[in-house]
Amino acid sequence: MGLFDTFRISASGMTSERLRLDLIANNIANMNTASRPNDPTSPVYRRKVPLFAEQLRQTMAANGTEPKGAGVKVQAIVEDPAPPRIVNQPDHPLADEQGNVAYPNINIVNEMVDMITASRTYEANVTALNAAKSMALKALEISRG
Amino acid sequence: MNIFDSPIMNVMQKGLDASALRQRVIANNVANLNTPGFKKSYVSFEDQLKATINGSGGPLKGTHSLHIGVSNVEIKPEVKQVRETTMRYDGNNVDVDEEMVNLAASTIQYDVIAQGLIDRYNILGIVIGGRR
Amino acid sequence: MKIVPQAVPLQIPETVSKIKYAEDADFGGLLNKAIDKLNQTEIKADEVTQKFLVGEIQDIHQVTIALQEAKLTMQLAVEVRNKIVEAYQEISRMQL
Repeated sequence: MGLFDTFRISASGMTSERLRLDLIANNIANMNTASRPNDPTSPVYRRKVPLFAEQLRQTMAANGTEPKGAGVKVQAIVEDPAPPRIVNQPDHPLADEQGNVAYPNINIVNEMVDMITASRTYEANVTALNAAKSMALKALEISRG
Repeated sequence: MNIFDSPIMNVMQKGLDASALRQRVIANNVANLNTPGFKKSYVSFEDQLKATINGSGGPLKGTHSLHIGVSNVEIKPEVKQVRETTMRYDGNNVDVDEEMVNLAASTIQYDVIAQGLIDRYNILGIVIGGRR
Repeated sequence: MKIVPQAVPLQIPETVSKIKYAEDADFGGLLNKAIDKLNQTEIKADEVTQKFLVGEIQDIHQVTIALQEAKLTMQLAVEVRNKIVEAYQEISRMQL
């Protein structure tokens, strides 16, 4: 464990949300990455989503009053299995025999909503961290007097 | 000659413990704001304290002249989980606004109790110093 | 017929003084207990600081409270010692 458990908890929250933001940015950047449908040599970009899970404390404290939760961790980064968007573009260089091109199944509105949620959660974690910091500084004042 | 064993100072220390624990629990709730299936927890302390005080009959005063009141009763802050509610479709029941409000309240509570202890220690220091 | 009720001596202070001060019959015993308590606060402060450094204790206030208690108890002990020395000097100054 570290010196300050509660700092670690908030830090884990911030790291996880930042990772989510990175994935969202990646999804948005690849929104229009075309690929040939059903062609293994030209894989379609799939929407990436992080899988969060509560991180549990490894050892319980001696008096048993400590909570088990120790923050959040990203268990895995999974790909959305939804099928790609098929658009009919016969002039596209990657079009197949029917003239279809596959685009990733990314909805910009969904990504924006996720981005706002991640942002808000990040800010909430920063607030929790600041609260812990201010409490620690106040406790130091006890021995200063 | 133990000048610190008064009931109120023991309870204040327990209050600080409870506030710090509460902040940790809130931090965990907030870190898991987007974790599917996560159920939030909270710390219960004030109700136990009130029950203990009411049980011993009066604010931290014993019923017998030799009774030292609350200080010989163990009050422990408890972490409880809220399982029944749901905020979102994925089972997560953390309300970020409620957590922020509780965080602010808990921080202020900690400051108040800590300041109370600081003042008490200052007073003791003055008393010990005598006429200086 | 008794008009004026008889006074009954109040029992409780005697009980209190008997129980509370039974062991501290002499001043030396009182001093020993005081030094013991002082030692205890110092030991507790060391213990808590060590636990904090290792990471067992996460709350800073536990450390600062223990340190402050040790400091004030030590201050009190020093003041008591000063007063005792003062009293001794005062007595030795008395002209007989």
